[in-house]
Amino acid sequence: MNAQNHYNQQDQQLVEMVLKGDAQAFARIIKNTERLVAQVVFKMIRNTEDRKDIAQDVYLKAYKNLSGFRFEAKLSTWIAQIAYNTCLGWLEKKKLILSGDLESFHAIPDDTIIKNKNTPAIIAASIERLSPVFKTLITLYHQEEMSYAEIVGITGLPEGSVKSYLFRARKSLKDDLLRHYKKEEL
Amino acid sequence: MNTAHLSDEEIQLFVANLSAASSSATDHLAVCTHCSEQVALYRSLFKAIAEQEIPVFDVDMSALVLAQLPVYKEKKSLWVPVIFIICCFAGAVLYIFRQNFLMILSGSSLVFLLAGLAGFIAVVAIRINALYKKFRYNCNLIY
Repeated sequence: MNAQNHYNQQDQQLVEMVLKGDAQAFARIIKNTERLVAQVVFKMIRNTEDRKDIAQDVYLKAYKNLSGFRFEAKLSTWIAQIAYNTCLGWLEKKKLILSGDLESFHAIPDDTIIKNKNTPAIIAASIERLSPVFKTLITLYHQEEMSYAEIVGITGLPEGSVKSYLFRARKSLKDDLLRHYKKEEL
Repeated sequence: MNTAHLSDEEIQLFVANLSAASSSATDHLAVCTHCSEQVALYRSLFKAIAEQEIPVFDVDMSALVLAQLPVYKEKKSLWVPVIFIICCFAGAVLYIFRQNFLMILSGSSLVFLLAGLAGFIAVVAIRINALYKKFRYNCNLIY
């Protein structure tokens, strides 16, 4: 039995248990998917309180629509999709998405980068400067090691856009890193 | 050998997936210090991204969510008490109006009596069926 089938079987069992009224099964679903939901929500939303509210909203939506889940994707991917769309809706509502300027989202001064000596810290600051969508894509691909197909499933973006956005995001991060190294040399 | 530097896209592709890189790119990297430095930079970038701290919610998310899930009280079947009430009511009516019923029935045939009884049973059965359907519908609404 391959890993995909195993996941699907486990998902199916948990969903059936929830639909029969087992709330603890839903608690297990939350535990299993919390990391991915946190990755999406933390990358998309800045405010801590909003993050909590949105995450709860995500799971309540998942619970409400669980009977409609058709096992065409992994349960975690489906819930991450709900998380992504909920965050996107929230950002749109707050008018926080800057259309046409996906790369530079938050104006974080370069000093933040220069003061940090180690590369992960520099990258963390640079990632923060990316747009929510770019941050999420970078995280899903590099940290969660998701395939393009899975990322497409979560974001609903065409595969070409995912690849292009990832390329631009990496280039932007590399340029930041290069700038930092050059400044350090001076 | 290709002497032009590799594009950013080619370097990213090389770092992300060595097997997908073209042989000309590999050959070029073997001799070009500039592109090799770019590869090293991307490698450290990819490594740093992968090493980023994994965010966690500082609350027990499952407890928070479970507390908000709609509570559905188990709906007790109503048909037993309903039938009991109907029987009591019918019994009371029969008892109170027993003289009248006896008068009516004394002049009628057994067929009339049985027809009345069958009608009563049919009404009760239809009512039970309707209650059962409503009960099933309510169960389905929960999830």
